[in-house]
Amino acid sequence: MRLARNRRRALSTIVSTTILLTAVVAIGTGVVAWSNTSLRTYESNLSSSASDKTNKINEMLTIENIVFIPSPLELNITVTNIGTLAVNVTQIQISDPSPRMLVQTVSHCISPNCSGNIIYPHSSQWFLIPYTWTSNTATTIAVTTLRGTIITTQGMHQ
Amino acid sequence: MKSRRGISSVVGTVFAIIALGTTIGYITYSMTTVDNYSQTVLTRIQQTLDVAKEKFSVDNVAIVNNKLHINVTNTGSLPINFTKVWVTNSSSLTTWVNSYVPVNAVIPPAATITNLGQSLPVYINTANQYHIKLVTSRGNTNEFNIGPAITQPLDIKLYAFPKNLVSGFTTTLLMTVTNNMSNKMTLVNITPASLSPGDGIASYTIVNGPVPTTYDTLPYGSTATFTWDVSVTGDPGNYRTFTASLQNGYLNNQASVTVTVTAVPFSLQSNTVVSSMGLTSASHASSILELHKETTDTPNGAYQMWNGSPEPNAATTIDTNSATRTWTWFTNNDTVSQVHIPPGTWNLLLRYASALAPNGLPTPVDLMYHFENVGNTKDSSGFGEDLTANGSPSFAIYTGVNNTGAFTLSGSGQYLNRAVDQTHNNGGTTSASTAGWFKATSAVGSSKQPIIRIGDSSGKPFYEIGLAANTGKVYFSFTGSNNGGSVVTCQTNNRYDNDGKWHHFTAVKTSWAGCTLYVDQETVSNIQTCSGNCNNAIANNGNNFNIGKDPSTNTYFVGTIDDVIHWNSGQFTSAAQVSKLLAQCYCSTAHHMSVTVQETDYTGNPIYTLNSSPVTFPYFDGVLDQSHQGYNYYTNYTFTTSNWYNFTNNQRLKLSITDTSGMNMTIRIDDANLYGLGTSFLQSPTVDNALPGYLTYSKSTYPIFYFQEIGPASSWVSFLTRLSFNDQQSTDSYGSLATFANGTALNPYRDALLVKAGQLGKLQFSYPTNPPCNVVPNNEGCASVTSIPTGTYRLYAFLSGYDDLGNIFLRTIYVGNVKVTP
Repeated sequence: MRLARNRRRALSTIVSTTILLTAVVAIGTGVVAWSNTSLRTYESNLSSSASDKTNKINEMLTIENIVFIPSPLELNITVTNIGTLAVNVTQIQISDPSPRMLVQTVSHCISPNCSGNIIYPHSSQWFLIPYTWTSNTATTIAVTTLRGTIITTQGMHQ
Repeated sequence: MKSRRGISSVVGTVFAIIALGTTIGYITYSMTTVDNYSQTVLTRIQQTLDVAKEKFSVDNVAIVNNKLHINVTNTGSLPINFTKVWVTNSSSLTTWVNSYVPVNAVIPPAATITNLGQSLPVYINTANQYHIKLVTSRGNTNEFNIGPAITQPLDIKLYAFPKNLVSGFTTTLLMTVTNNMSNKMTLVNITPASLSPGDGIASYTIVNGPVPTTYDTLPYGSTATFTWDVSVTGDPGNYRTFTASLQNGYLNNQASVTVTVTAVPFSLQSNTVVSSMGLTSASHASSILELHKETTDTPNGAYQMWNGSPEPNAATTIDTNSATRTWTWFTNNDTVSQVHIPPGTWNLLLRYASALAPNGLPTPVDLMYHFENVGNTKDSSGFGEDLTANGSPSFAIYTGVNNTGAFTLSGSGQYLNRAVDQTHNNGGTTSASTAGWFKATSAVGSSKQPIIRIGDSSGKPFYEIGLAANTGKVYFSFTGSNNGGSVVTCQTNNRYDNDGKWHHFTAVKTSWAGCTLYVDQETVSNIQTCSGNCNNAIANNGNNFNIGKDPSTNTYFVGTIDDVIHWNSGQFTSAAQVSKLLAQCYCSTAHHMSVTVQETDYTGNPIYTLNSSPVTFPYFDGVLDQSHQGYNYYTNYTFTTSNWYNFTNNQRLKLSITDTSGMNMTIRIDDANLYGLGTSFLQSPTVDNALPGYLTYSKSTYPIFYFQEIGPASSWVSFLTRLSFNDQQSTDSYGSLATFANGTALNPYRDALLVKAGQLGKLQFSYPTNPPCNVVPNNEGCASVTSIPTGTYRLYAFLSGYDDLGNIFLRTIYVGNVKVTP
């Protein structure tokens, strides 16, 4: 009797232990897998975001010069990359106090060493934009890069 | 049971560790990422701060060899690299814009680059207007315009000194052109047009001028001055109007002045030149206030300033090398009626000579070469150790340091030299110093490039400064060893060749065996010394003091050398002395002064400040040009007032000149020999009455008048000599008759005793009356005359006589503004 009671008790213990272990393993594996996946996702997002922001911060460019060309009416805008990362100019927006604004998606630069719209570190590119400018009027130029950096300046023809 | 429970715990723990590890890994990665991001942000902030800290100023813009010659000073704390220069020709019909990359355009903090633009392949046409933009590597820019004066009228004025003169005398016409362009443009090629004669019948001859013929550039706010010496002849009352304008200037932008021949009788024959109180010509304008040396009746011992001419043999100099830093002049304060000074231009003419070197440097200076004028190889030290130019080195008035004159040496047979003597240029014994500027235009190759060399032969004592072969480092070597060995050497750690920049060296021989060498900011001591018998003469007679050549090796310097100064026994003892020399230029801004003009009360307390400005004055070499006792140079400082200033009794005009920094100078004042040429004076806009002076005459005494016969002949003065008191407030005037000469009576039957050349004569006159009459007690012939009232008068002396060669002289002399008291 003592022995039979002992065997029954052992079986249930084993079963329960097995169930418990299975549950622990299943839940643990699930939780670990889920957390790993989530953390990887977060890590990837963080990495991507930090990289984007870092690159954006490191983008240093300046509108070095604006030439007001009288015939045909155009603006020759020189953008210089004074940073250490190459930048890609995607858009140039020109406006003046008159109720008009020109948003120009830059197709290409015109510099002799032009390479698409990419401006390599410590170099310049020229962008020729048709625009009906008027003398003695402050004209605002905004240059947007692929990373979203926007630099602005003003020029005026006297 | 216990062991089975342990398995689940182990499994759970494993999972927990995995979860914990993953979490820690993520957190660590996140923190690293955030840290990198923060670092990037900090770097960007630093870059932004660097952009803000990058500061520079465009000091001067010139056109040299038809190219831009821009002086830029780095006023910030970071090195600046100019990466681009934009040039816009904004005056041509088809405007063009080009950008250029300058060469060697890096400026350390607190340094100046003097030739920015010379390397650019753009030639400037002075007839066009240009817009220049300088761009730095950090994206900062500075923009300015240069162009001709044709676009806007300028502030042009024309003065005559004097405006009234005796027929045949020369007046100096002074034209001032102030750049007041509304766009603050630097003007180029400011050249006066030919002086245009206008109304009037007086004949004239332009003796000299314009001087200078042109200003290459004129920065905004600056004033260009041009002078002409014009001889005017005609009958009394004849006049001639002159008009000055600029070549290629704005239409009808001009200024005029009228010069009048005064009614002064004058002997054309007499060899006698009688001078009273130094005057040999007629009056000068009431607006001219001579700077006198007397201090009587002035506040706080200041000098007198008044409309009276210098006395003979009374010139003095003010040496700014003194504890006093400010020198002050006052007019008197006893005007009898108001003096009104209208808005207009004031002119301070200072005649001075510059000191040899800044204070506190070794003395004496044994050699000094500035190479200022064309072909000028002269020694400015005063010892006459002039150089000889060999091999026809090219000279230009702007290629030297600070845009001064200098020789450029090609490195092929071109050098300057002077035979050595044992006093001034033999390299000294136990001490000597040599300083100068050099600009090496090529990299030093396998041959050294000597800058200074004493000692023509090898294997003998020598003294040498130069650029070392291959390394381009500056060395200073010498030896007193008889075989030329055991050389004492100082050598820099940096190279100073092939950078197109000016470098300053000071080589100091501290003993037979010691040296110190300063080049720019670098200081080195000797790396080799002399042992044994080192005290032989560096160079004996027959050798040369060479600039740009070592005769013992036939090696030459390639580039430009300027402002060489040698102390044959003087020894620099501190870096501070070297810094002082380095900071001092021998250029157009050698002297830094402050000029203040004020209206004050009678004690000198300011009421109004008419002008208070820092002023720079150019270096004037009074040693090389001994004309007028070394004071052949003068400079004009002009300023403009826009208000009326009224002077009542007990008010004075005050002029203060403060020496703020820079080279010392000696200012010449009260010099009768310079009268008419411009001894130092302050001129106001035209006044209605002269500001009160310091000559006083008590009407209760007989006027006493001294004159000097300055020869060449001796002379007698006759009884026809008179004094004339011209009332400034009315048409009334009063005269006095000459009564005694040197103590003996004058009358129709007796002239004065012979006054020999160089001697002084003393004349006594009757009381001034109208009509003039010898009023003596009980002389009834003068009963109805009017005695002169108290007041302020312009005093003239009319001298009549003849010389010992039989020639007559009749001369009117303006004595000055005189106050007649009871």
